[in-house]
Amino acid sequence: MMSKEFQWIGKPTLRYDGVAKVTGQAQYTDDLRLPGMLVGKILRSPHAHARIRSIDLSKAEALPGVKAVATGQDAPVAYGILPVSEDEYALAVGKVRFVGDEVAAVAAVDEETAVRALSLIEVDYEVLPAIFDPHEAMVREDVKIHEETRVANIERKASLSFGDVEAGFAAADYIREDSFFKGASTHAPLETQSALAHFRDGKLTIWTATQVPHYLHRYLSKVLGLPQDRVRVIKPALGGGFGGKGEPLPLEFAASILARKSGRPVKITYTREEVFLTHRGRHPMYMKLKTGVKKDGRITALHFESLLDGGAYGSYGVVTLYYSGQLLTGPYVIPAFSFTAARVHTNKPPCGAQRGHGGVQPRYAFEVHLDRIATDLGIDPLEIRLKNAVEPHTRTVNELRITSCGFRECLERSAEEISWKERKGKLPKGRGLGIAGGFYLCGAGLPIYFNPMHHSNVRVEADRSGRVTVFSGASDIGQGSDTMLALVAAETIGISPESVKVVSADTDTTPVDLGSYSSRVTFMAGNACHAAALEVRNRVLTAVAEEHGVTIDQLDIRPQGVEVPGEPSKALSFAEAVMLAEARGGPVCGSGGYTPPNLAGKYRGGGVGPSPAYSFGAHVAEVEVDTETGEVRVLRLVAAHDLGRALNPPAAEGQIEGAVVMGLAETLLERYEFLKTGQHESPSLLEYKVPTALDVPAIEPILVESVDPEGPFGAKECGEGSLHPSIPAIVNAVYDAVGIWLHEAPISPEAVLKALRQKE
Amino acid sequence: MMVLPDFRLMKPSSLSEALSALAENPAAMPVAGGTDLLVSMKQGLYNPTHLVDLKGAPELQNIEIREDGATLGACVRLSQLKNHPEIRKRYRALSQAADAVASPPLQNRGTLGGNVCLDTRCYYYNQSYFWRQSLGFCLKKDGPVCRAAPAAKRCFANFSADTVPALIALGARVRLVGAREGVLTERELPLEEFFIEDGIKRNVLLPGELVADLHLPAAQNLLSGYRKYRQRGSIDYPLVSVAIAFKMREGTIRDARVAVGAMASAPVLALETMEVLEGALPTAELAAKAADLVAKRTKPVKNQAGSPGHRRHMAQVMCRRLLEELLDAKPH
Repeated sequence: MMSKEFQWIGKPTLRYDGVAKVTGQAQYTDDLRLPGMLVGKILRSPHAHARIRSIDLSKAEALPGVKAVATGQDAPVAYGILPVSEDEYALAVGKVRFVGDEVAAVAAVDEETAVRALSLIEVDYEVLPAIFDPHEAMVREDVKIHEETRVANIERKASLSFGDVEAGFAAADYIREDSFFKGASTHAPLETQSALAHFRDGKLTIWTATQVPHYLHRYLSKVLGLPQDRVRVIKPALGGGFGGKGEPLPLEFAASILARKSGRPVKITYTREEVFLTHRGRHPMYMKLKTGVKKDGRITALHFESLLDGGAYGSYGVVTLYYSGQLLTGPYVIPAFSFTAARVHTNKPPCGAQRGHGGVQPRYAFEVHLDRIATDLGIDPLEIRLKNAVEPHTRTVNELRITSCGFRECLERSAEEISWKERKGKLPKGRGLGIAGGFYLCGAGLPIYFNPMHHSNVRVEADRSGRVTVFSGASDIGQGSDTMLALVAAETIGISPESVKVVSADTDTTPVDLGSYSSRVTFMAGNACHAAALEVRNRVLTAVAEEHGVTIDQLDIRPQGVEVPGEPSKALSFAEAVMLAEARGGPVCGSGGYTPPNLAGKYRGGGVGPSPAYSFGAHVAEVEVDTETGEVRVLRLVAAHDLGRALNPPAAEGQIEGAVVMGLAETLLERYEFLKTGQHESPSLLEYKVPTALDVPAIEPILVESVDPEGPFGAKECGEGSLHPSIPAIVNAVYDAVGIWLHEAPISPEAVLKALRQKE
Repeated sequence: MMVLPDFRLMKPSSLSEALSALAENPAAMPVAGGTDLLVSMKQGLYNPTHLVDLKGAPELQNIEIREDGATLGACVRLSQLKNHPEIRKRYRALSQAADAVASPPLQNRGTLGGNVCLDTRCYYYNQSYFWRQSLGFCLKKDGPVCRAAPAAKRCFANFSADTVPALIALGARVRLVGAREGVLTERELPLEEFFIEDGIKRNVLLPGELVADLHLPAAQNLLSGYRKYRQRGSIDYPLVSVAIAFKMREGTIRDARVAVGAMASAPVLALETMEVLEGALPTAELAAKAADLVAKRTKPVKNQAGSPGHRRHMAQVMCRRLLEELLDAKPH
């Protein structure tokens, strides 16, 4: 299979959902209507931190048109995406912890009535002192955001050490220490979260914009006290997730509770402001680095410290905490490494997973730090990276298994594309080039809750029309996983992708897939799909071989059908071949699953970081800095990304472009910040500065194919790792342009001007 | 979605009908493009009983460009201004300013009159009802104190219309019409006198009164331009804006007018800059000397992105750059 020339892989394939989306036919959750449907709305806390003394619902319940009202007491069962931090409730129980925290919910015949009902709910709050600064959260014992934290408001600390760090620093010719801060950003998906719940015959069905139908399924069952077979989660077309829909969210529980109470379908669609308040985006991170190097730039040791501002709840934070350190041991060889990290609670919306989860902030810090070291030593930034570049088939000091690795090629090709050697240091004043590297997981090695089953399961079925249907629990959130499944099934079987239908992300009809997070879907669901499709191929070919007295290896499936060697008249269409197989052995199905090899390090925290493969990348930015206004313009961004193999090159390039835009946004524009009283400063797409087309430079993706030995057709991830290098590449280019180092991101024109003044 | 509160939509087919509708319903508001007002209504900032749609009044649709000047109706769309070849040629600052408003789809709906009457803006004001209630509201709407300048007794919301500094620099006059006790009223004044340096009052419009049209003087030998500082290349309101217009006669600058936007609750005429420019020879040092004074009469407070200090700095930079560009340019 792998050796012969591909029919479809590596060539442009039309997106499975492309036409429906560009013509407005695609049905997103908010497009759905059910007879008798009610509109649900959530009452949110106006206080950053308060105890709820009492809630009086009577006036709201008495309002004509109101069909159900709910509070935390309707489902006081704690949940959270990570079993180690189940600290959230569907609606507040006892306390609220940020401005916007969910307090109560109503379902009414229309939106106006629901909004009016919210204003009639009387909540008696005892306002508590609030904490917004993570350094304060580290030490304030008198204010406890969660009573359970033992020391101040520290949710969790991590401390790990690998190799002989002391000896590493002792062997260094040069040691440098730096501090950095990376501010928060949020996903800002175009589609706001939306959930439609229907409770009928004792069974809950929910259509919802989720990246993780399976985890949501489990938690709905737990929180609502329903057996899992009484809960069905369906994910309709989804308009962007980026991590913000990667965990069970309050609206999904609230809609379900209201549907159960009212006996009618209830839909809740968030306003844009509610999307900002729900957040789960990038953690603000304070970071310190200390690196030892030899005179020639080879790294001898690295020590890293991080403080994560987690916001009000756990979310994915414990994973973020470990990733912040664990993902620093590549893409450079670090012979000795230690880190200490802490995540604290503050009275702000919870931070969680956002594209490039956990590695983005440390990557920014490390790559700028590395450029400072190179500058101190008089080594070219490209050179120091090549010198330390991790090689294929090695292990990092914290036991991450590196298999395929095109990092060196990423560095060389991106530098080549921008003519690094010819142009670096020779540009006019105000212009500069910057380079940075990065790497990322292709799915987490371990599931979120411990279980020995497959991470991805796929069923493939061929029917009498010659159509093949892929059933998968994987959640297409716009990244194109349905297209990927169709493509993998088509290539494996030999038919055309247009003959493949994909049924995905419906917990009643599709087998479990853990969901769209950690860049796992192409690698894991792709492998599962390949295995399932191979069974179908073999069923069909076996039937034809037996019928015509030939062996399987004499046969091949092509879009036009199956040819029988030497007997052209006996050629079958694929549909005829399927019917033959069905007649001989019943339904023509195959199933496949994928579990990553057990790669967990033998230490506490060793389960966070391992992945069956890693993508690698290097970006080069060319910027122009206006030294009078402080404005930074990115003119070009060359993004080389080792994705193993590009299954569908335009889709891969789209992912890289999208990632670069997000990286650029959180470098130069987007600020997720709060007033001193806890209100979000800019909860709108007008004031939260997502870039427009005019703010985006020419992005030049380069697809580097290292062909992974374990990925489906050699493929690895592409959508998240391709964000990491963009931030430091821009910041390093600013230094090259005007000689200032920016240790805080996002960078503002004012910060640039201030740094320029300080330099003088 | 955010809920749009209930109101009655009235669609008069003439200006006098529109004025009567406004006069008869004291809590009615006029609407043209609605790009700003409808958002504000969803946020609970305005709760009119009626919206009087002005787009059906042909009197407000006028674009007339003559040798002795121009008349521009209040309901002329911003995209019409931006794309009009004669406006581009004669009144470049206005065309550039219309092009700088929000984004092309909004320019297709938004109108000149709507932009002239644009509400002042502030971090603490342009927020949802939930958000403002959480903070305890602000002086401009429902609250006791200005959140941007709590010690002050007034509202500092920011004047944010793009077209106005350009119009003022170009010497525009505004004609206001109204109906009082069945009698039509009409008055005309220089556009800078239309505005009031107060984030709440904003302008001199009386209840029931409307901006009918704007009048521009002749454009012979006129040089003009508009610059806007914002974070993104599109969509954003200005953090600072500068408009300049002057004539070159016998090698010297004449009739110089410089207006600054988004640096106070009303547009500001940069009188000191104008004084330096008036009658001056276009020397190499002139632009910097004039630009240094451009922010003198502004009072930015921290109610937008960017510090007041940076916005003042940007006003100077943009003023100088625009002057340099114009002094290099030839009159149309």
